[in-house]
Amino acid sequence: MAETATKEFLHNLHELPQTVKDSCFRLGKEPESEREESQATFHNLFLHIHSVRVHVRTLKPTLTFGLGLAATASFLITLITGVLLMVYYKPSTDLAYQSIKDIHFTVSTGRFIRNIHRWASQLMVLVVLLHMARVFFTASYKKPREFNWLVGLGLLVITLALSFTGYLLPWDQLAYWAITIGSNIANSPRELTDAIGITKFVDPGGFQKRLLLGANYVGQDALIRFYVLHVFVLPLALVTLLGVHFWRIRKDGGLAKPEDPPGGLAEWGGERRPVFQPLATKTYGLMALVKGKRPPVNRGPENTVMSWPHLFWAELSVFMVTVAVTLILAFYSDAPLKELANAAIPENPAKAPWYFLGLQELVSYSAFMGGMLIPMIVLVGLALIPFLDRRPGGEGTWFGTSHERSVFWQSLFFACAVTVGMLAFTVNYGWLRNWFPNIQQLWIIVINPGSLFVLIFAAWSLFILKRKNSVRLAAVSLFTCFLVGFTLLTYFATVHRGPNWHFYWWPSQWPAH
Amino acid sequence: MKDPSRIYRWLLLVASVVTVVYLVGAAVRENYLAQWRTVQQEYRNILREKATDDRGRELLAKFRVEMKQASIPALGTVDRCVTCHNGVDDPRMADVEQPHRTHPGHILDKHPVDRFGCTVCHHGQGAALMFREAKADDVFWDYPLFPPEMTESTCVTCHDAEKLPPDQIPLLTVGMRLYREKSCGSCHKLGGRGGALGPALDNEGAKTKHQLIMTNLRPPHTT
Repeated sequence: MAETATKEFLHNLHELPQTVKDSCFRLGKEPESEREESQATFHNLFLHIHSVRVHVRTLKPTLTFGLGLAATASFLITLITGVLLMVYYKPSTDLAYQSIKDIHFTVSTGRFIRNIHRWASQLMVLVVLLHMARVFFTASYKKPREFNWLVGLGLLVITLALSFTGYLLPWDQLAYWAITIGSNIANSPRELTDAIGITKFVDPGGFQKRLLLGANYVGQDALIRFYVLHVFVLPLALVTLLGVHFWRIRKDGGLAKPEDPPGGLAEWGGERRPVFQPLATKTYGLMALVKGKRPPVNRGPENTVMSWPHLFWAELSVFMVTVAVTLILAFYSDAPLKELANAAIPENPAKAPWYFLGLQELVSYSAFMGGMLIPMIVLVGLALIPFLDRRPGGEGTWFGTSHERSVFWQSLFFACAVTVGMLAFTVNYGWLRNWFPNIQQLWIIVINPGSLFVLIFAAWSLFILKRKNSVRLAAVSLFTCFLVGFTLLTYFATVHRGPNWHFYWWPSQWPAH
Repeated sequence: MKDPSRIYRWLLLVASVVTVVYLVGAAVRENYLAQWRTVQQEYRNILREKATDDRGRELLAKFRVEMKQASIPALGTVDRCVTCHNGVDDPRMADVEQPHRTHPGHILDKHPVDRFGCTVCHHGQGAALMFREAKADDVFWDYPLFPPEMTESTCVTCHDAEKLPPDQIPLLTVGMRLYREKSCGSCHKLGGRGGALGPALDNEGAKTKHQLIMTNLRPPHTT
């Protein structure tokens, strides 16, 4: 007996690498049949959120450009580099700046890690915006994906908040004054309450600002609030909502796509062949209770391929491309770090982070309109899109319904002309305050370039609605106007606004102090 | 399209190669190509040349290529200048090229680097490990390195200028004489004495480079 137990033990020891490997990878080998490829997908926690087969359209690069995945990838990059930075960062006004300097100078590759974190976060904001535009222009928000559009909007807001809270942490001049500006945008309802004289009784602006900063100025309380939001609350919220977002993609039947023609054939592998046999007309079991189009009943062959390996190659490649782009940017361009924050030396111009500069331009006309009402209108407007445009058609196709492309181009030129014209007019001739120095502030709150943008764009969209007789086209025109307005205002405030928010052609022309 | 994921596999290959190249590149650049490592290897060669006696051989044996710093909690400074200026307190280095040269004068006798650091007198960015960042003329730093002839201005951070030997603080002596002769004190307060017409001058030295308004000190605007 003893001898056989020893033998067994030695045998097990010999087999150890293989048995450990088998216990980790349930399939235990390279999948060889479609059945095993299915198992590879649904036996893995991280992969099983995918369906086992995907439509070939899903893999077409020009359908999505991998934007949603790239946003997720850049989030994961910030998550990993963020944890590394947390090891050295100290969220105190006395120590924060020095700890960033130490990360730059003495932590091994610390500067590079901070650069990656910075660039991945900037990339994330940009890619999330582009992803939203992709989903809109491929009409992918339509039934049954309305809810996921809302989840996506929530993710957009959290992304902006994550980036904004991270902005303060280095505690340098850039951070300090950008957050001062940002918190003053939160304070902007006070312009309205001041104008009608009720600030003493109702002060939502002051409340928002104090809620954000924990004080009336940017100091230690603000720093610790931003830190907690940045490293704990917001990432947790984002991960949770991201889970919902992915889950709903699956439950809503994958990426939006047009209906396959009945009896269609697969178009890959160099030949046309039926991939699925016609399915049984009845299904039994729990699956029948699940809402939606799955399981496909009474439908013929579909243009699907196995997720393993095709979809996973695609996902992995988008992930690595994002990593590579971030690394290249981080290698050549350092994340900014200015002088230690100093409340006595205001930056001039003090600019918010770039994605809020469009708002800051509007705030420069009217704090309430630019900082409060217009962002609310934009957010509510975006949220309402899938509920106001409910006619099916064009799903999963760029500019899928008729006239969409031409309406897009018309709106693009229209919005460019309006935005550039309005900015040129404002820069050259000023606004109401310059013409009527004693005018009531209330008039300026109501009539300013920002509110006129909203009115003109809304009027244009109504015009398209009447003329083209299509809700989708009206939505396309309005969304295009929003994108153009956002882009041009952001560009204008970034490049052409100098000290005292005056107009300059280039930053090199700013007066030296 | 023969295989729907072929393009992605190529993309993955290219992106992965780029990723590996840049990761390795950054690791090498930040760790092995750091300026101070080259400087310290030069210094070790100098040490080897000068290791003619027991003391010299001992210093050579003790020398390690590593980051060095003077951390002074009382001043709130961490000065890493000695990572490159290895020879500041070695009298044998008086004739070698910077950054290895001995500190001039006898000031270090009473102000050893490990008790006072460097930036308390010289200003500049003590935390930095690159000369451009340490000198901090054209980087974001409030107190760039003083030119050598200006360094005496920081003596008064701790000392009473009146009690210092005038030959060691020539510029300060001229300044104090001008202050008396031009009656600056009739308008400005300094140390609690003087007029109230202009602002007090007590904390002028603590101003950052952005706060110093030089226009009032140069003709024709001199007040």
